[in-house]
Amino acid sequence: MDKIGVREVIEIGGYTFNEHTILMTWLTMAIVILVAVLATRNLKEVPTGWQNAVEAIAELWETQVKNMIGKEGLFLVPLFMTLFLYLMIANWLGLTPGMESPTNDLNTTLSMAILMTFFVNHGVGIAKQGIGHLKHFVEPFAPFIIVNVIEELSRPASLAFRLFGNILAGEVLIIIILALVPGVVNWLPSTPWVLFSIFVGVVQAYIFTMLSITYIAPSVKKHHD
Amino acid sequence: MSPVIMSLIAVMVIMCVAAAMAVYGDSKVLSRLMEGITRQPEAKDALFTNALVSCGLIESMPIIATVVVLILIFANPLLAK
Repeated sequence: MDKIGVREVIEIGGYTFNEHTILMTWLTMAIVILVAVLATRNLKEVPTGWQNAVEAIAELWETQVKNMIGKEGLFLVPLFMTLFLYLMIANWLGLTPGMESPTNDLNTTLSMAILMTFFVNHGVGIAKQGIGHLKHFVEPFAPFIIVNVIEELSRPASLAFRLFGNILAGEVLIIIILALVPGVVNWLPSTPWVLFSIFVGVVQAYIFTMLSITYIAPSVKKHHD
Repeated sequence: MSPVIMSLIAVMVIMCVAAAMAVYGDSKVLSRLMEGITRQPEAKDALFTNALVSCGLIESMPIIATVVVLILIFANPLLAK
Protein backbone atom coordinates (compact mmCIF):
# COMPACT_ATOMS: atom_id res chain seq x y z
CA MET A 1 0.00 0.00 0.00
CA ASP A 2 1.43 3.37 -0.90
CA LYS A 3 -1.17 5.32 0.99
CA ILE A 4 -2.84 3.78 4.01
CA GLY A 5 -6.44 2.87 3.40
CA VAL A 6 -6.37 3.39 -0.35
CA ARG A 7 -6.70 0.39 -2.65
CA GLU A 8 -6.39 0.58 -6.39
CA VAL A 9 -9.34 -1.09 -8.08
CA ILE A 10 -10.07 -2.38 -11.55
CA GLU A 11 -13.65 -2.44 -12.77
CA ILE A 12 -14.57 -5.18 -15.22
CA GLY A 13 -18.18 -5.65 -16.28
CA GLY A 14 -19.58 -3.84 -13.27
CA TYR A 15 -17.55 -5.85 -10.73
CA THR A 16 -14.80 -4.26 -8.66
CA PHE A 17 -11.46 -6.01 -8.23
CA ASN A 18 -8.62 -4.97 -5.95
CA GLU A 19 -5.67 -4.87 -8.29
CA HIS A 20 -2.84 -5.53 -5.86
CA THR A 21 -4.68 -8.31 -4.08
CA ILE A 22 -5.19 -10.29 -7.27
CA LEU A 23 -1.63 -9.79 -8.50
CA MET A 24 -0.13 -10.73 -5.16
CA THR A 25 -2.39 -13.79 -4.94
CA TRP A 26 -1.07 -14.96 -8.32
CA LEU A 27 2.48 -14.36 -7.13
CA THR A 28 1.83 -16.39 -3.98
CA MET A 29 0.35 -19.22 -6.04
CA ALA A 30 3.44 -19.22 -8.27
CA ILE A 31 5.75 -19.39 -5.26
CA VAL A 32 3.79 -22.26 -3.67
CA ILE A 33 3.86 -24.21 -6.93
CA LEU A 34 7.60 -23.51 -7.23
CA VAL A 35 8.20 -24.81 -3.69
CA ALA A 36 6.18 -27.94 -4.47
CA VAL A 37 8.10 -28.59 -7.71
CA LEU A 38 11.45 -28.05 -5.98
CA ALA A 39 10.50 -30.42 -3.19
CA THR A 40 9.24 -33.29 -5.31
CA ARG A 41 11.87 -33.66 -8.01
CA ASN A 42 14.55 -36.33 -7.38
CA LEU A 43 12.71 -37.82 -4.42
CA LYS A 44 15.13 -39.59 -2.12
CA GLU A 45 14.62 -42.10 0.66
CA VAL A 46 16.53 -39.90 3.10
CA PRO A 47 15.30 -36.39 2.35
CA THR A 48 17.62 -33.43 1.88
CA GLY A 49 17.12 -29.79 1.05
CA TRP A 50 13.66 -28.66 -0.11
CA GLN A 51 12.20 -32.15 0.27
CA ASN A 52 13.30 -32.18 3.90
CA ALA A 53 11.62 -28.87 4.70
CA VAL A 54 8.32 -29.73 3.03
CA GLU A 55 8.36 -33.20 4.62
CA ALA A 56 8.69 -31.51 8.02
CA ILE A 57 5.55 -29.50 7.30
CA ALA A 58 3.76 -32.62 6.04
CA GLU A 59 4.70 -34.53 9.19
CA LEU A 60 3.55 -31.64 11.39
CA TRP A 61 0.06 -31.62 9.85
CA GLU A 62 -0.16 -35.39 9.67
CA THR A 63 0.36 -35.62 13.45
CA GLN A 64 -2.12 -32.81 14.06
CA VAL A 65 -4.80 -34.49 11.94
CA LYS A 66 -4.14 -37.87 13.58
CA ASN A 67 -4.49 -36.31 17.03
CA MET A 68 -7.65 -34.39 16.27
CA ILE A 69 -9.51 -36.56 13.77
CA GLY A 70 -7.86 -39.96 13.71
CA LYS A 71 -6.87 -42.14 10.82
CA GLU A 72 -9.95 -41.49 8.67
CA GLY A 73 -9.02 -37.84 8.35
CA LEU A 74 -5.72 -38.40 6.58
CA PHE A 75 -7.23 -37.64 3.18
CA LEU A 76 -7.49 -34.01 4.27
CA VAL A 77 -3.79 -33.54 5.07
CA PRO A 78 -2.85 -32.23 1.58
CA LEU A 79 -5.56 -29.60 1.89
CA PHE A 80 -4.24 -28.37 5.22
CA MET A 81 -0.64 -28.45 4.02
CA THR A 82 -1.54 -26.34 1.00
CA LEU A 83 -3.52 -23.95 3.16
CA PHE A 84 -0.64 -23.55 5.59
CA LEU A 85 1.98 -23.03 2.85
CA TYR A 86 -0.26 -20.58 1.00
CA LEU A 87 -1.03 -18.52 4.11
CA MET A 88 2.56 -18.53 5.35
CA ILE A 89 3.95 -17.35 2.01
CA ALA A 90 1.09 -14.86 1.61
CA ASN A 91 1.77 -13.36 5.03
CA TRP A 92 5.50 -13.16 4.36
CA LEU A 93 5.05 -11.56 0.94
CA GLY A 94 4.09 -8.22 2.47
CA LEU A 95 7.41 -7.93 4.24
CA THR A 96 9.44 -7.85 1.04
CA PRO A 97 9.99 -4.32 -0.26
CA GLY A 98 7.47 -3.20 -2.81
CA MET A 99 4.99 -6.01 -2.26
CA GLU A 100 1.92 -6.30 -0.10
CA SER A 101 0.28 -9.40 1.31
CA PRO A 102 -2.86 -10.67 -0.35
CA THR A 103 -4.08 -11.40 3.18
CA ASN A 104 -4.22 -7.73 4.10
CA ASP A 105 -7.49 -7.68 2.17
CA LEU A 106 -10.59 -8.87 3.97
CA ASN A 107 -11.80 -10.47 0.73
CA THR A 108 -8.94 -13.00 0.75
CA THR A 109 -9.22 -13.98 4.40
CA LEU A 110 -13.01 -14.10 4.42
CA SER A 111 -13.11 -16.30 1.33
CA MET A 112 -10.57 -18.71 2.83
CA ALA A 113 -12.51 -18.82 6.10
CA ILE A 114 -15.86 -19.44 4.40
CA LEU A 115 -14.24 -22.10 2.22
CA MET A 116 -12.89 -23.94 5.27
CA THR A 117 -15.79 -23.64 7.67
CA PHE A 118 -18.71 -23.89 5.26
CA PHE A 119 -17.85 -25.60 1.98
CA VAL A 120 -15.21 -28.10 3.13
CA ASN A 121 -16.92 -28.70 6.47
CA HIS A 122 -20.41 -29.46 5.20
CA GLY A 123 -19.10 -30.90 1.94
CA VAL A 124 -17.03 -33.52 3.74
CA GLY A 125 -19.87 -34.14 6.21
CA ILE A 126 -22.48 -34.74 3.53
CA ALA A 127 -20.06 -36.83 1.49
CA LYS A 128 -19.28 -39.05 4.47
CA GLN A 129 -22.64 -39.27 6.20
CA GLY A 130 -25.23 -38.25 3.63
CA ILE A 131 -27.83 -35.58 4.29
CA GLY A 132 -28.09 -36.77 7.90
CA HIS A 133 -24.97 -34.73 8.62
CA LEU A 134 -27.20 -31.67 8.89
CA LYS A 135 -28.86 -33.22 11.91
CA HIS A 136 -26.10 -31.85 14.13
CA PHE A 137 -27.81 -28.47 14.00
CA VAL A 138 -30.63 -29.71 16.23
CA GLU A 139 -28.46 -31.63 18.69
CA PRO A 140 -28.84 -32.10 21.66
CA PHE A 141 -32.40 -30.80 21.39
CA ALA A 142 -34.35 -28.66 18.94
CA PRO A 143 -34.08 -25.11 20.41
CA PHE A 144 -30.30 -25.43 20.17
CA ILE A 145 -30.56 -24.57 16.49
CA ILE A 146 -30.25 -20.89 17.41
CA VAL A 147 -27.00 -21.43 19.29
CA ASN A 148 -25.62 -23.67 16.55
CA VAL A 149 -26.44 -21.19 13.78
CA ILE A 150 -24.80 -18.35 15.69
CA GLU A 151 -21.75 -20.54 16.22
CA GLU A 152 -21.65 -21.37 12.49
CA LEU A 153 -21.71 -17.68 11.62
CA SER A 154 -19.17 -16.57 14.20
CA ARG A 155 -16.51 -19.12 13.25
CA PRO A 156 -15.63 -17.83 9.76
CA ALA A 157 -15.93 -14.24 11.00
CA SER A 158 -13.42 -14.74 13.78
CA LEU A 159 -11.03 -16.70 11.55
CA ALA A 160 -11.14 -14.04 8.83
CA PHE A 161 -10.82 -11.01 11.08
CA ARG A 162 -8.01 -12.48 13.15
CA LEU A 163 -5.79 -13.06 10.12
CA PHE A 164 -6.83 -9.84 8.38
CA GLY A 165 -6.27 -7.71 11.48
CA ASN A 166 -2.87 -9.16 12.28
CA ILE A 167 -1.47 -8.74 8.78
CA LEU A 168 -3.03 -5.35 8.02
CA ALA A 169 -1.96 -3.85 11.36
CA GLY A 170 1.57 -5.16 10.81
CA GLU A 171 1.83 -3.59 7.34
CA VAL A 172 0.34 -0.25 8.39
CA LEU A 173 2.73 -0.09 11.32
CA ILE A 174 5.69 -0.68 9.00
CA ILE A 175 4.60 2.33 6.93
CA ILE A 176 4.02 4.46 10.02
CA ILE A 177 7.37 3.63 11.61
CA LEU A 178 9.21 4.39 8.39
CA ALA A 179 7.34 7.68 8.07
CA LEU A 180 7.70 8.90 11.64
CA VAL A 181 11.35 8.13 12.39
CA PRO A 182 13.81 10.53 10.68
CA GLY A 183 15.14 9.21 7.42
CA VAL A 184 18.70 8.14 8.22
CA VAL A 185 18.01 5.79 11.14
CA ASN A 186 14.54 4.55 10.30
CA TRP A 187 15.85 1.05 9.67
CA LEU A 188 16.58 0.82 13.41
CA PRO A 189 13.06 0.59 14.84
CA SER A 190 11.51 -0.96 11.76
CA THR A 191 13.84 -3.99 11.67
CA PRO A 192 12.61 -5.52 14.97
CA TRP A 193 9.05 -4.91 13.86
CA VAL A 194 9.59 -6.65 10.51
CA LEU A 195 11.25 -9.58 12.33
CA PHE A 196 8.26 -9.81 14.64
CA SER A 197 5.95 -9.69 11.61
CA ILE A 198 7.74 -12.72 10.15
CA PHE A 199 6.96 -14.56 13.39
CA VAL A 200 3.35 -13.33 13.37
CA GLY A 201 2.94 -14.52 9.78
CA VAL A 202 3.89 -18.10 10.67
CA VAL A 203 1.85 -18.15 13.88
CA GLN A 204 -1.29 -16.80 12.21
CA ALA A 205 -1.03 -19.30 9.35
CA TYR A 206 -0.62 -22.09 11.91
CA ILE A 207 -3.58 -20.88 13.99
CA PHE A 208 -5.83 -20.56 10.93
CA THR A 209 -5.06 -24.08 9.77
CA MET A 210 -5.31 -25.62 13.22
CA LEU A 211 -8.68 -24.01 13.88
CA SER A 212 -9.88 -25.24 10.47
CA ILE A 213 -8.97 -28.78 11.51
CA THR A 214 -10.83 -28.27 14.80
CA TYR A 215 -13.94 -27.07 12.97
CA ILE A 216 -13.89 -29.81 10.32
CA ALA A 217 -13.13 -32.63 12.80
CA PRO A 218 -16.71 -33.30 14.00
CA SER A 219 -17.95 -33.72 10.42
CA VAL A 220 -15.38 -36.39 9.65
CA LYS A 221 -15.38 -38.19 12.98
CA LYS A 222 -18.99 -38.73 13.69
CA HIS A 223 -19.77 -41.74 11.55
CA HIS A 224 -18.29 -44.03 14.20
CA ASP A 225 -21.20 -43.69 16.63
CA MET B 1 -17.80 18.47 19.57
CA SER B 2 -16.53 17.97 16.08
CA PRO B 3 -16.28 14.48 14.62
CA VAL B 4 -12.48 14.79 14.52
CA ILE B 5 -12.18 15.32 18.27
CA MET B 6 -14.72 12.61 19.05
CA SER B 7 -12.95 10.18 16.75
CA LEU B 8 -9.66 10.90 18.50
CA ILE B 9 -11.18 10.40 21.94
CA ALA B 10 -12.65 7.11 20.74
CA VAL B 11 -9.24 6.09 19.36
CA MET B 12 -7.65 6.85 22.73
CA VAL B 13 -10.16 4.81 24.70
CA ILE B 14 -10.09 1.87 22.28
CA MET B 15 -6.30 1.61 22.16
CA CYS B 16 -5.85 1.93 25.93
CA VAL B 17 -8.39 -0.78 26.70
CA ALA B 18 -7.19 -3.07 23.88
CA ALA B 19 -3.54 -2.84 24.90
CA ALA B 20 -4.30 -3.34 28.61
CA MET B 21 -6.57 -6.33 28.03
CA ALA B 22 -4.20 -7.96 25.53
CA VAL B 23 -1.32 -7.75 27.98
CA TYR B 24 -3.49 -9.00 30.85
CA GLY B 25 -4.71 -12.01 28.92
CA ASP B 26 -1.27 -12.92 27.61
CA SER B 27 0.26 -12.55 31.06
CA LYS B 28 -2.15 -15.11 32.52
CA VAL B 29 -1.14 -17.67 29.90
CA LEU B 30 2.58 -16.94 30.13
CA SER B 31 2.72 -17.06 33.92
CA ARG B 32 1.25 -20.58 33.77
CA LEU B 33 3.84 -21.39 31.11
CA MET B 34 6.63 -20.35 33.46
CA GLU B 35 5.16 -22.50 36.21
CA GLY B 36 4.86 -25.45 33.87
CA ILE B 37 8.44 -25.16 32.66
CA THR B 38 9.64 -24.93 36.27
CA ARG B 39 7.81 -28.10 37.22
CA GLN B 40 8.86 -30.11 34.18
CA PRO B 41 11.69 -28.71 32.07
CA GLU B 42 11.42 -31.54 29.52
CA ALA B 43 7.98 -30.30 28.41
CA LYS B 44 9.34 -26.90 27.44
CA ASP B 45 8.88 -27.26 23.66
CA ALA B 46 5.32 -28.55 23.75
CA LEU B 47 4.29 -26.00 26.37
CA PHE B 48 5.95 -23.13 24.53
CA THR B 49 4.31 -23.97 21.20
CA ASN B 50 0.87 -24.17 22.80
CA ALA B 51 1.49 -20.92 24.69
CA LEU B 52 2.36 -19.06 21.49
CA VAL B 53 -0.69 -20.40 19.70
CA SER B 54 -2.86 -19.39 22.68
CA CYS B 55 -1.41 -15.88 22.61
CA GLY B 56 -2.28 -15.66 18.93
CA LEU B 57 -5.86 -16.62 19.69
CA ILE B 58 -6.16 -14.30 22.69
CA GLU B 59 -4.85 -11.32 20.78
CA SER B 60 -7.38 -11.62 17.98
CA MET B 61 -9.90 -9.25 19.59
CA PRO B 62 -7.36 -6.50 20.50
CA ILE B 63 -6.06 -6.68 16.95
CA ILE B 64 -9.55 -6.29 15.54
CA ALA B 65 -9.86 -3.23 17.82
CA THR B 66 -6.56 -1.94 16.39
CA VAL B 67 -7.90 -2.29 12.86
CA VAL B 68 -10.98 -0.29 13.90
CA VAL B 69 -8.64 2.39 15.25
CA LEU B 70 -6.68 2.44 11.99
CA ILE B 71 -9.90 2.87 10.05
CA LEU B 72 -10.91 5.75 12.33
CA ILE B 73 -7.60 7.50 11.84
CA PHE B 74 -6.94 7.00 8.14
CA ALA B 75 -10.23 6.27 6.43
CA ASN B 76 -12.76 7.79 8.77
CA PRO B 77 -16.23 7.49 7.25
CA LEU B 78 -17.69 10.10 9.60
CA LEU B 79 -15.65 13.02 8.34
CA ALA B 80 -16.84 15.06 5.40
CA LYS B 81 -14.85 14.23 2.29
